Amino acid sequence: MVKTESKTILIIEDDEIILRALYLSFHEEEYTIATATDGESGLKMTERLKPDLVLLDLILPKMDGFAYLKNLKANPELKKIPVIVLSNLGDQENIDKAKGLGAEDYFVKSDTDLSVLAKKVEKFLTS
Amino acid sequence: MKYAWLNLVLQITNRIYQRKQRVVGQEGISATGNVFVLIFLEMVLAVVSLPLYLNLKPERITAFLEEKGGYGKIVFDYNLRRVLTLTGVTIVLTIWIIKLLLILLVPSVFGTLKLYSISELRPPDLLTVDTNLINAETEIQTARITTDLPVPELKEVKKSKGKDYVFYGVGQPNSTVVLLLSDLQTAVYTGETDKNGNWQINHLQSDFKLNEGNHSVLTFTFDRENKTRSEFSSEQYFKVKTTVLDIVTRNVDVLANWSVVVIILVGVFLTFLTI
Repeated sequence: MVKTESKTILIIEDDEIILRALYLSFHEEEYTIATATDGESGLKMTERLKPDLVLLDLILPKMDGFAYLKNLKANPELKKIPVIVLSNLGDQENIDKAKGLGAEDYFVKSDTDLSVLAKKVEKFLTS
Repeated sequence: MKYAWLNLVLQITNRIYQRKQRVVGQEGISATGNVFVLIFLEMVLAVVSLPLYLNLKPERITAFLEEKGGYGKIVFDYNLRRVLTLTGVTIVLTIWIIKLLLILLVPSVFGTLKLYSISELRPPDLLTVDTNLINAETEIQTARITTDLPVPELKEVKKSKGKDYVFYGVGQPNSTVVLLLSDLQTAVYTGETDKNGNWQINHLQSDFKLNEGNHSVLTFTFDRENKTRSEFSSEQYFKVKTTVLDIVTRNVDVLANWSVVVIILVGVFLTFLTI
């Protein structure tokens, strides 16, 4: 396994249980995990931390995931940060919209295998 | 293994989300059904996700805390309380479901008891009826014994759902049957036969609890108007014994009752903490 100790993942997720589940999924990889529970504070954390990857929920308080993506990609300093969407919204329209706004990948929670997601994250962080 | 569990957590949260979406915009019975499913899913999630709270060290998670205007450690007290409460409620429900299953589905606990004749039992085992006790019943005491009245017959003894005992038999239609039941004291019961001669007499354990061991039963017909009674029936016995299922049932019973008290106290306590 590739050592990725210094890499930072920002998880923007308002559901604490999922937040904890995601934290545990990446915990053994020894990434630095930062979290935000709404889009607004997620954007502030992105500006301050400049994480190596963002894991984003779409339905969020204050600022939803789409608005977050718009703001992120509009910022030249942040636009290269890869964003993986993990959402309850499984319809093609939302998938296309998120990818159109610059999401690197899109996972629907009901179909997601977290081990696959962890591998995907590792792939992004080592590439 | 870890991922299987985390995937399950993720899937349940998604089911809850989908169910919530269905509830929004629904009315009446269908909404009520979905709300019950929602509550059930929340309970399942609470139990399944509990290890997340016990396992995870929150000091390793940093977050932007708006109220502090900076970074800090996430405090999950509210959600932890919620999960603990839901887990508690789920445990209580599980205990009650086990209790109901035991009451409704275990015939060996609440079935028919075998009746013995005196020859099948050793004398020291017997708790015999004290026939002098009937003297306490003035009308019965003064009743004249007649062979004209048929002797009622005890057909079976059943342990009912509430752990009480029900005695079934046949006798003269529309007559009064007196039943003498032995324990440390002898209990006297009366019952009426129906037009077919069937009778039923209940012994409530709440009145007095039958001790473990063999209990004898005597019956006779009593004619209140003519102040006469039949001869005694032959003495029959049934055995009261504590089975493993009895013990489990009793303990589940106690657990079920106490669990409600505990969960209410915990709920009140947690509610105060959450305010």
